[in-house]
Amino acid sequence: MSTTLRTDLVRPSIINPGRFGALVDRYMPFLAALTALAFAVGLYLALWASPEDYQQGATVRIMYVHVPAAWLALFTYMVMASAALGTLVWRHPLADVAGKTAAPIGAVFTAISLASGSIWGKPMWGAWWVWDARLTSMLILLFMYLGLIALWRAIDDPGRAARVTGIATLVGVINIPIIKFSVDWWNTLHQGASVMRFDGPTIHPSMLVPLLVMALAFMLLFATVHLSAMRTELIRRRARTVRLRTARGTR
Amino acid sequence: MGDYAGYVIAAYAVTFGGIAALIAWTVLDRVGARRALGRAERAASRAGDAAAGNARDAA
Repeated sequence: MSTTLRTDLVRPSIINPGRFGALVDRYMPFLAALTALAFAVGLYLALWASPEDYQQGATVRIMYVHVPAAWLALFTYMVMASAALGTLVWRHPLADVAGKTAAPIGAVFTAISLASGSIWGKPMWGAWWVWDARLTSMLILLFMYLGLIALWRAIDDPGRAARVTGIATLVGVINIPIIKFSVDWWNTLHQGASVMRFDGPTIHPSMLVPLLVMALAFMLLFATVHLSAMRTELIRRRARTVRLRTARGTR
Repeated sequence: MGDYAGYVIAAYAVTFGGIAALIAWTVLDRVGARRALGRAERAASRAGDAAAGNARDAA
């Protein structure tokens, strides 16, 4: 009687790494096409169809890339925190792969948010940078992403790296509410929330709709790049396993 | 866009430059990982052939 345990029978199909890879390969072209379409519609609405602001003029168009990038910077960190919980508590086979591959994406979104905000700040505030609570806490988020990427690369054993970075990621979650509520808790030059408010958005629909379409495009971009990066990480781990097996076999 | 055109163009250039870099990293990383897997599988195949040869010699 065979004693081999078939992992696809033990776990539901989507969390089996092999099945996950096949699904990503099948649906990636559709997801990438949907992302490109969302960006095309979003850019049309942001650059041509939406009106200029009566105070800020054309610079308000920077909002359509700055705000979604900032939202995705925070969202990506929450994905990493969920993945850290999945690794440390449930030992999910894809959780550490999700956490590791999300970090560079989050770092890019944070950098885009800081850079576009700086470019918006110069004509509106008269300065490229101010040590305001919102800007400083976002800069700390960028350093946290870079630190976690460095930590992943510093530890050779993937299992140990996942546990160490998982704990560090969960500790760093404290910065997320600080970023979100920094404009309420401190007197900041950065404006307060105008979309995610308990009493509803204060932006006119002619600007809110393009903003939400661009946010959807950024979210689809995140999904496309993250799933693709997870697939790549699984290939890299398979290569590592083959190398280790060969090294043991030739000894 | 008047006086502010330069700022708007710069912000969009930075954003889509960053997105292009992210996509390029994703593609190049996949190519690198596939090459690494190919090398590992070829090495495993060579090691398997060598082991089989050694076993034949010993027999």
